[in-house]
Amino acid sequence: MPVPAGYREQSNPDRNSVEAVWTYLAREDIVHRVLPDGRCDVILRFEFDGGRPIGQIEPLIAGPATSYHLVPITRGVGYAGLRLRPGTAGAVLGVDLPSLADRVFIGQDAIRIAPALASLCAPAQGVEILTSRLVAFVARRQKLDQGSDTFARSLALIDALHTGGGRLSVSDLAKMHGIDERTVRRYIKMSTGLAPKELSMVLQFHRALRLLRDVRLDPASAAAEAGYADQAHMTRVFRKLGGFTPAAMPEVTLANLPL
Amino acid sequence: MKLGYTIIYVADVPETVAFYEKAFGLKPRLVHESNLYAELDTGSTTLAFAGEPMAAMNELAIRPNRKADVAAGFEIAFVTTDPEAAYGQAVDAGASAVKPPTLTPWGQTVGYVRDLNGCLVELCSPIAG
Repeated sequence: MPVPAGYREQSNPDRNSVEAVWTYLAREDIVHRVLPDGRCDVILRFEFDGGRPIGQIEPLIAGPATSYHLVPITRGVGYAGLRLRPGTAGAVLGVDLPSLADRVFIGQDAIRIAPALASLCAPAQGVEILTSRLVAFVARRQKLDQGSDTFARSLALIDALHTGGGRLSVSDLAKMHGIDERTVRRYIKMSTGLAPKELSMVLQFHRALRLLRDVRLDPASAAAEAGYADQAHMTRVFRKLGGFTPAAMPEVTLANLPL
Repeated sequence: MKLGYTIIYVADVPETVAFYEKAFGLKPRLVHESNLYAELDTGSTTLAFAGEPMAAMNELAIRPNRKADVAAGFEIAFVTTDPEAAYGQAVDAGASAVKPPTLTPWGQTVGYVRDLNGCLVELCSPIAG
């Protein structure tokens, strides 16, 4: 799917909390469709002039989502963002992730839940200063919780869920890792902000999207391989999570562009 | 058509390679710099390991192999003239004991262990004749 003009993204090969660093300088008014992806983004929003941030810089936190939302974006507004790896946002931001589900916090609201973000909003000469500020912020913060056993176990569960394309049940995960189902539910909810079923639904939806869009499977085969009961089931999930049907996927949809 | 590769998706490729070297004496033939793919020197049919992120990169979804889970429905069989010694070496290296080698009615000695990822590995003597 086409990337809007002004969008740049760099994935981070290091196995730390940062999955990708991105910037977006909007050169036209658009409505962006944000698809749920089981991740959490930390974003700085600003107005720009010739690629340089001017005026106030505002933090945004996009919590984990279970459904799509439409974000109107105005020409002349820029964003610098970090996509955090699934399961790491709670520790990095020092927030209770489940309470952020399906919500976006802007400006003072974001600072209220994560006061440390205030330090990122000082004036900057260039957009790249904002991205390096975000990266440094995460590098400082991720040491807080990441040595813990709970953290490692949560990541192992999330990785297994990803590897299984969202098709493994809580009972599968429990057996696989030798822990009980209640613990699986608690770890996934705590570390991603979503219940295992919600996260599975998101992962399964993304896999079906890729099977249709990149692999170019026919809808019946894609539905079967993604693990939906039938094509009608896949269509219902696409409507709910993406706001579109498999037959009419919008051109502007970009699974990786959060805002 | 011929069988070229058996590729097992694993959580940690270098750790798995190190384990196979220590437990079964198999040397790596190739370890990709990404640490997401490796091949062992296993003769004409290659035993290879791919990191679990490779599954998604290949647009696949798989059930990950985990030691605490019930074993998946396949096994790797290594043929050796001394299955008892091989079994001892594997278990000493951290393989889970499943079934010590015993002599079957058809004259083959067969034992089973599970590797660090929970995959079944059979250690057997060559079939006579």
